[in-house]
Amino acid sequence: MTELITFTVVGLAIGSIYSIASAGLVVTYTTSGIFNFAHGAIGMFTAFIYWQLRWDNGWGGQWPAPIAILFVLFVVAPLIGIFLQVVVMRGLEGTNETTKLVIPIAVMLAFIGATNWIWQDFESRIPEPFFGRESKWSIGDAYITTHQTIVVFTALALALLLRFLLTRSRIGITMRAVVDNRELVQLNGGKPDFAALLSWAIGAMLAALAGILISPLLGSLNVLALTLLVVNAYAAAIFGRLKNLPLTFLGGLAIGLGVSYWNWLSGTGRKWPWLSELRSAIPVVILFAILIVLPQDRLRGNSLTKYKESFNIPSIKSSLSWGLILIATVSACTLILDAKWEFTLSKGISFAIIGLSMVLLTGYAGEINLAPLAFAGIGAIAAYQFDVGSAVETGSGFAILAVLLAGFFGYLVFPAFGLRKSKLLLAVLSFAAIVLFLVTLFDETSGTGIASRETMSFSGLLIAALIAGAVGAVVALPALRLRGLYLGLATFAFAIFVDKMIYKQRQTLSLDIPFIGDGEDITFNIFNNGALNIPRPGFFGINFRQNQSAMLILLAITFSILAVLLVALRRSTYGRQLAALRDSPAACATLGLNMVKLKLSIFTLAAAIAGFGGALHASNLRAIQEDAPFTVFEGLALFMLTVVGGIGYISGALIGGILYGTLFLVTADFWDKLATDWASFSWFFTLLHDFFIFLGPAVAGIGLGRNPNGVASQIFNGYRPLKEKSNRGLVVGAITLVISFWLFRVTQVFDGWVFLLLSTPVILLCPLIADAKTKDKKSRSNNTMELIGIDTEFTDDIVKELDQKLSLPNSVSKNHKRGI
Amino acid sequence: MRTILKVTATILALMLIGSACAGGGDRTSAEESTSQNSSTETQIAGDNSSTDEQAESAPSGDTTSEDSRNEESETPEEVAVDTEPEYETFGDIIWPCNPGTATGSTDQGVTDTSILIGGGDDRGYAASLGLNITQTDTLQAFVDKCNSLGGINGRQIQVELYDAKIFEVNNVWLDACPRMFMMVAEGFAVDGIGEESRVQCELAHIPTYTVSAAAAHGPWMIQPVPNPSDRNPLSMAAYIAETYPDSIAKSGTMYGNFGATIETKDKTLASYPPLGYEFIINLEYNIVGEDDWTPFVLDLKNAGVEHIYFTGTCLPNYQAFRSAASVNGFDAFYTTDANFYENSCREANNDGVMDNTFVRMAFVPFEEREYSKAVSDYLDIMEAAGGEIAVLGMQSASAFLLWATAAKECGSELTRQCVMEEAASIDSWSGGGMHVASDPGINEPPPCGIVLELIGNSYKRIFPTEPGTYACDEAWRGEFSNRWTEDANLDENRVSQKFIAE
Repeated sequence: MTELITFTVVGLAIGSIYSIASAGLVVTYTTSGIFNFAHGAIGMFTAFIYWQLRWDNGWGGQWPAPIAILFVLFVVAPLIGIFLQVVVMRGLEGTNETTKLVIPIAVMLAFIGATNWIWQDFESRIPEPFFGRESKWSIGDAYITTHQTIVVFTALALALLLRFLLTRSRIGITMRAVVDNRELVQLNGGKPDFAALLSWAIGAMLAALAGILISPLLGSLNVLALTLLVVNAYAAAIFGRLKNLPLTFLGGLAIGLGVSYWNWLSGTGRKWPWLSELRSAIPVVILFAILIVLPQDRLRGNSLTKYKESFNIPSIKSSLSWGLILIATVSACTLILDAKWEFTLSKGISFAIIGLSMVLLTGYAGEINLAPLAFAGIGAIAAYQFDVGSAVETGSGFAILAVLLAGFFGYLVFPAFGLRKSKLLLAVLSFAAIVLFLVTLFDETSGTGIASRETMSFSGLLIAALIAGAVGAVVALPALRLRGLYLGLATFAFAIFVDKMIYKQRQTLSLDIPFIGDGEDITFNIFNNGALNIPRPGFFGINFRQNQSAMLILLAITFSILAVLLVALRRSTYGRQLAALRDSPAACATLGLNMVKLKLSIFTLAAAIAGFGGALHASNLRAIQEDAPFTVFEGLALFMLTVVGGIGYISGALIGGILYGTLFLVTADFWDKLATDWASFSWFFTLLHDFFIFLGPAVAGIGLGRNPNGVASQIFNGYRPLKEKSNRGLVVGAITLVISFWLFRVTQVFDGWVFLLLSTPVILLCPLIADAKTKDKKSRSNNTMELIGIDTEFTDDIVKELDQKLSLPNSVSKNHKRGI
Repeated sequence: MRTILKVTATILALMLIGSACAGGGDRTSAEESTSQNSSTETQIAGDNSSTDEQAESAPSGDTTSEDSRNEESETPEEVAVDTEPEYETFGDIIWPCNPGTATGSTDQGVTDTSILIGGGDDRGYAASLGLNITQTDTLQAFVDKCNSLGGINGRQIQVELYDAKIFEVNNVWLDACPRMFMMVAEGFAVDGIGEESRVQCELAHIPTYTVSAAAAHGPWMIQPVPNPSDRNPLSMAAYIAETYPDSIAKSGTMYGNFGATIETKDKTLASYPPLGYEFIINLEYNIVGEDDWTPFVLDLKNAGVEHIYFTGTCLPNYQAFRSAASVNGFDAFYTTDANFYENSCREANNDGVMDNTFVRMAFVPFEEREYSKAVSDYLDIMEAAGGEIAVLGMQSASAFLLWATAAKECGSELTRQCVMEEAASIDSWSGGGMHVASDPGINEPPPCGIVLELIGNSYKRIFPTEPGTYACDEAWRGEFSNRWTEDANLDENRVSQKFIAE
């Protein structure tokens, strides 16, 4: 009985906090239609501020608890909420689902970055429970702390208060009315903007309250742990279908109790070692389950909407030539870059390879996946376990596994290409045969488990892709009926699940494959001691271990090949099906497309690419850890920056990857160097350095994530004038100039700075000059769009231009051929 | 859109400036105290009288004789003290740093004028920020001190301080391998991850501490206070067994869910039972923190545990766990390792929630600085330089001094090979008297120790009770082997062959 009471109280306390946090989510979602991913981060940030006021002497001594709480709840939190609504969120009305996800994610990363920046000194920050650690009362033999009591009663009072606010008060009714019909509220003299402001202020207050209440339970302030704890409240919010407050409160309590009873049942994870980490993953498992089971009444909403995005699809020829240009540029860079910078650049390109999976899934097919790095991590682990680790003893066991996986993979992917029955069987069998051939040809596994003696073989990368693809299919299967926010949340839940259950798994798995080997053919420990040392590849007799340049070029080649394949895929029938799926699933279904097969195949393919990229990335880094580089937060940042780059473009993935893996680090390093060189301005340069390190990605996301076409399309538009024939001389001149600078750099005539200072202006000014020239020419010929066809003839160039302006596919060449 | 970008940037920048202004005060005061460095140094130099006193009173049993032998072997230097009294001492040794005429690029990282070494800790670990930062603070202070005395035979020491953030050890070695002369006084909690790279690139080191079996028996490694994975000195275990004979059969462990703490727990499980300990329950907790520790308390209570060996960090996990234990009225006594002898831990125990905590030590605690000139010298240097003071810091100081002593002996021909040979040839090393003398060359910890108890805001020495002494007993060597030692694949000299290329 004592235990029952104790575990119930523990569960109620933590559940009450989830309830408070999720109520905040619901309030903001109902009035603004935005699922505030930053909710947990706001709670975390305000908990830090509360700690700073209450226990640190830095900001005016130690404030008394009531004053500090009131200040944080009624001054800091509402200001944060109002600031967010006015500056960031208000502009999101009418944008598509991806943008509505990306901006709050960027805000979340901004809060995490700002907290790390402000409280960057290394110190344990211990918030104490209300009325001290010893303050308690008892029911029989069970003890209940004053803090727990306060938490539960606060939640109850809040539930009543919110209920009253939303149903009985005028402003509450306005808030609810805004959700239903904004225009009507306005016509009736309501103030929808004010209601939205208020809801954001209340949301931030609730997040702050949850943060303040939960941090003493956790023992010390920890940025990521606090953020994730409030993420646990997502499940409760979804349980209330993002609109029903009583259900949300119940959901929160249920999750808290669920976790607590599981702890009781499992002896804090001791009874079933494989599930020992489930304690911390239960809320996301519940989230995933609720998303699947939830009636889908709000999930449609995707009638034929015309998005603002318009992605041009490059031709295979141009993608081939751009691929070659990328390889050539990267190769040229290897001659002038230090190994350190080569390594930084290679990180960017390997992230770009993982980013390609998002281009396929989100850009082409419109399916949101917030767990790209979870698949990448699974790929990396698979490559290690089967290629390097001593997981598989026998070569034949390995081959059988590969063939089985290949069969599964083919079975999932090929039907989407229109293969049926015997053709399908044939295709699957031949794919399996190819894999078998490749695996036996390239298998150099000696299985010592010592990475430094080994090289990553091609079969390892292949297995990485296959296993990640299979996992992708397994995840996609239940998530098939979800779209938009709900799919995003489901994949997010999966990413956290992988973080907790895979990366932190310490059990050793032993399997005996029948008929093969002599017992325990597969034995492995997923993430041995929290890290795996992964070897560099060893293809074609090149030593990638010592040679960073070779590794960089290998990555560039891999990216280019995958990119061309993706463009080919997009241009095929399959690719057009994907575009249809993105534009209108309803219309697709009406036309008889098999959506299930299509979605399953696309998830499998995308996960396979991510897994392949993850294995390469890990091999480039040479070590992966349970907390880097494949965690959920890093995945969110990569997703966000790929959207910034332009998720519908191959180049968007490249830009996103390089932003994430390279550019912010390089820029920060640049300021850091200036800070050491110019000591008198060092505070300023240090500020810039810190800004880029802590807030760079987040600010880029907030500032640029709203452009549905991404930075890539802006760059294309900027450089478009260079395509014109009249500017050819300029292009040739600029290229010659840059190449000659490069030659000077290679021959050590210039140092790095001079090269940078000379070539950057050439690259940047070139399109501007071309643009000016074209405008000049145009203004002389006085060609306004409206007058085309009236006083000038239609030419191919003009039609092209018109197509471009109207975002139509390029019709000239085809029409030309047909003689129209 | 651009305006939003700007506004966000400005506001965040303003916030930063605000916080920078608020936090800036401490730093300047630290710098000021650095400038007073020279005045304190002269004081230390004058204070030679306590050395003899310490040598007489400090170690009991075999260690005393070892120490006196040590002094005899170093007579030439003592003569030097007499003739040139400006030689500064650290505890009972002469600072191994002096001007000189060493020249030549004799090994990687060594030039005519400088020696490049690396240090490191896990200060960036998010779940326990500042973890073991004392190592790099100490190394920096001691390197500065050594350079101010003239460096190693005239070569100035340059030091780079790495942050392995717990799991990024491998990256540290990959960066250090092609550049560093050696790594000195570093210590990484999950060193097993990086050991493979270190062994492959044959980078020698004299670390502050090692954890994993492979690293604790690593080739090209010498520790000032050996901590091999097949020994676990039983001073505290024996004391507890004697004092609480009825409770030790009802023992339990609590350990964090990562490699280092699991390995430490396994050491205890392998070495304590011969003394009569029975471990009836072993609980794994989340090293990043638990939302509620009550379930653990109830488990322990139900199992009827009376003694708990807790491995992890004092703050925040141990404190949070103990307050849950206190709320639920669970009484037991706790044994912990030297990392629980920590200022922040002591200060956090205002409410006495963490009483009944026993700490095993191999160092003279700071409270007894007047009994050990070395401890006093360490504190003087750290107080002057600023930085975190901790027992682990003394261990870093000992590692650095061991390295410097060996490097000095090499003279102009400074090579890794020479440093390792010189360090191995020292038979008795106590870091000038900071800790129990050990023989670092054979990787064998002495069977000695001290037990402290945390009571309120202070640590009280409870065994042996005489300040400045250690208790030693040959029966406390605590030899064993378990799955970790088997995995490390030790050769006849107990050096791990796991990662050595075939």
